[in-house]
Amino acid sequence: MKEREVVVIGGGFSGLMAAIRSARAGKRTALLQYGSGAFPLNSGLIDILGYDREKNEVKNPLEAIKNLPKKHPYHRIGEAAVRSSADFFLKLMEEQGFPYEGSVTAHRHVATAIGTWKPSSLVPASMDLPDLKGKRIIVVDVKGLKDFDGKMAAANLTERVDSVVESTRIELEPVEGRDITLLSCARFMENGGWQKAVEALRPLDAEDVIFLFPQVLGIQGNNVYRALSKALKGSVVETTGMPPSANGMRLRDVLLRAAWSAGVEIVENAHVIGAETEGKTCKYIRVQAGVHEQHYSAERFILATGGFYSGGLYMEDLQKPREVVFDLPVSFDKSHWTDKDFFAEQGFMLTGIATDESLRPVDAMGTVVLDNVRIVGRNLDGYDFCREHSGNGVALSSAYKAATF
Amino acid sequence: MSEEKRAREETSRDTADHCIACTCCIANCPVTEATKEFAGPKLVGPAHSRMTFAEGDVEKTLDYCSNCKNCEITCPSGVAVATMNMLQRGEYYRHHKHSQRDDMLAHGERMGKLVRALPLGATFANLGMKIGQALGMFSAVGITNKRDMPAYAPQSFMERFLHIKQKPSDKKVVFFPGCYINQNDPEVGVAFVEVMQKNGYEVLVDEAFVCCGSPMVVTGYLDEAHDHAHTNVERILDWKKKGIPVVACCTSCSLMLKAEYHELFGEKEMHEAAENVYDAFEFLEGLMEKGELLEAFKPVDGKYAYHSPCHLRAQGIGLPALEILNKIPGYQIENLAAGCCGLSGNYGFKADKYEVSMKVGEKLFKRVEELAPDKVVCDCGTCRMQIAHGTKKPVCHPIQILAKAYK
Repeated sequence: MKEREVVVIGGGFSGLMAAIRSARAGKRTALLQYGSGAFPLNSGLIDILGYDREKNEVKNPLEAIKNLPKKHPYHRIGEAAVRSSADFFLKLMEEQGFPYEGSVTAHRHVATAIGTWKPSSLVPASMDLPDLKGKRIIVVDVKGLKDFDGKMAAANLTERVDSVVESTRIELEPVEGRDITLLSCARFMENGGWQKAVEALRPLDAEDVIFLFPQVLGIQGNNVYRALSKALKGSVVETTGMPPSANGMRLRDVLLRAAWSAGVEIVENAHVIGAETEGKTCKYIRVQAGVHEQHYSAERFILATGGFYSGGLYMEDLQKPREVVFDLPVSFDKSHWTDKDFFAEQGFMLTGIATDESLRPVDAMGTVVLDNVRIVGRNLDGYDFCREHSGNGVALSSAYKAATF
Repeated sequence: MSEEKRAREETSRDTADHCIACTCCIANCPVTEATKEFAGPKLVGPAHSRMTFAEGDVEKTLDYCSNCKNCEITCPSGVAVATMNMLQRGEYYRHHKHSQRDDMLAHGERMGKLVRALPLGATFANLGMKIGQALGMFSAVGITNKRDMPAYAPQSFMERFLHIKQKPSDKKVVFFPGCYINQNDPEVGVAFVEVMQKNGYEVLVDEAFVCCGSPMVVTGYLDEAHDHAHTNVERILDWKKKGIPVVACCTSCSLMLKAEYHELFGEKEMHEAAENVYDAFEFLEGLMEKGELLEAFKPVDGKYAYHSPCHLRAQGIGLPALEILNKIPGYQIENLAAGCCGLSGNYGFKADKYEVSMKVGEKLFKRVEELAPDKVVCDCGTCRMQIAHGTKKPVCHPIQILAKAYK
């Protein structure tokens, strides 16, 4: 038996945040990962709440939480935890040299790869747009890069802003071997390629220019962003990107480092296959470590295994969804599994674990099932993060609350 | 290949259907990062393997996969990406001829046996390798001359073991030294015996064990590796019947015995045998958890850095060596956490893969340079070779630190 104080199951965004906060609270914390978390599909932007029920962009995300349906996890997490978790995150990122900007009471607008706006609450410095007044936007296209079309982005932006929008194409990575992707281009930039970008953009460089790059400014921290900003007179801004998301990978890298330095013990390739419970207490969880089974006991277990996509929830026959570690009751509405409208709220997205206000799992009657287990992130029921844009917001605030002692 | 054999290989292959194209493996594959020649783990593994197995179609960049297993470690859906690649490589070489280079790199054990059969064989072999390197004999067959071939120790571990006087005990383990410890780095095996003796265990060896097969799997000698698996599994099951566990200090050997045999060949006996195999520090950590590990450590001076081998990370047991070494009072060791070393067994010895191998290792070398430790500690023999080559720092196995703390 491995005795720990806190065991976090799942190494995605909510799992890492919960582990970092637990370790910083002085708890001996183990983080069990099976796979590297959904970071390559994570924009790394912290959306608290982008859109309301009528699909309108909300003005003040924290205020708008009040109007969400009763079952929404934000009501259980609470306004205070949403606010404090954002402060915690901003401070952590600042400390790690990867600063974010923003607040939970207003939106910032990030440029997407196709030249539209996306509202978000906490945004990495490289994606934060300056005031557009009196500025020209130059979209930087990269030769051979198939994940980004500078002309399309420029055309879409022209419809949305008063500023002049142009695009230019520069040559970075040599076009050879495999296709150029955002990922390979970001790595090229990180390994000195940013200087090539500076040389190519110098003739267009001026104080009133905003250079809008595809998401290629490195995959570790923001050194490339800082170097470009220093070398160019114009402002440097990145758009969102295609998977694998460079910014998602930066976020993972920064959080892993923060976790190590906080003393989190990270166990990779550890497949948690079940739990041993006694009454309302989980005694230990069972980990399939190759052929050997290992047991981890803890005062608190934090479940961050994700939804159907990540394997935290599982269903074979559209009858009974299962939670794979504790076999917790899963809240779902059989009559509303999918909606014909692709952009409507989908029943399978609302499916998850119901909890009380401490994020302990409850059954259909609202009775706590396990006292020393907390549910975070996409394991929670009652929200469709794709539709309302709240994924990382719920992940962050629930992780923060679950790791409060 | 018999139908029965084909059916067994289905299991790992079938995991291709679990792939949801999330790109985690692409984002974390060190070879993909190092070279644009490799089409990448997702494309070569789950996507293309269907064509290989159905139509014998070969993805030409399959050759770049080093079987480091980072794809499998980072896959959230349990896809056996690297295993699929090794099965494809094996299938390819069922119909194509191997090079002399691959034959040499896959069969270090055979060479070792020849060397040990001659008087002063090790000395002459080492001298021969130096001369061979200088005359470009290795590069002529496609082995890089930019790094030294591992030198033979004056006496193999098995030879030294004969002269170790042990206190007998009812508590016993069988040591699986593996080729590298046996031929090149027997001190690790000697330290293991010392540590087990301190903990009241008697160490046995088994002359019938053969090379675990890892170097054969990566060079596409799959059927030969399968034969080795049968030989070792039969012995391990015999020890299992007697209630004596088999323990290895080399993490690639232990991964092979514990996981890769049944993942590659899918036989029930291999799974049963695997249950009786432990990595050395996994075993010691188990003792610690039961309160049976001798924790009377003497201080060990110096500043150390730890590199976790990919083949240990793939085992899902965390970093047990760090857990135990951290119990030594005042012991200073920092986890480098800088990814794959790049050597991947015999991969970095191939002339056409040397540059890729060194590029993969760059982050690790840089991190070692930043931390400037007196010594780098690592459970894997080939990682240690690569670290010594890339950083010029002295290296050792964690069991050697533990043995020192017991003195």
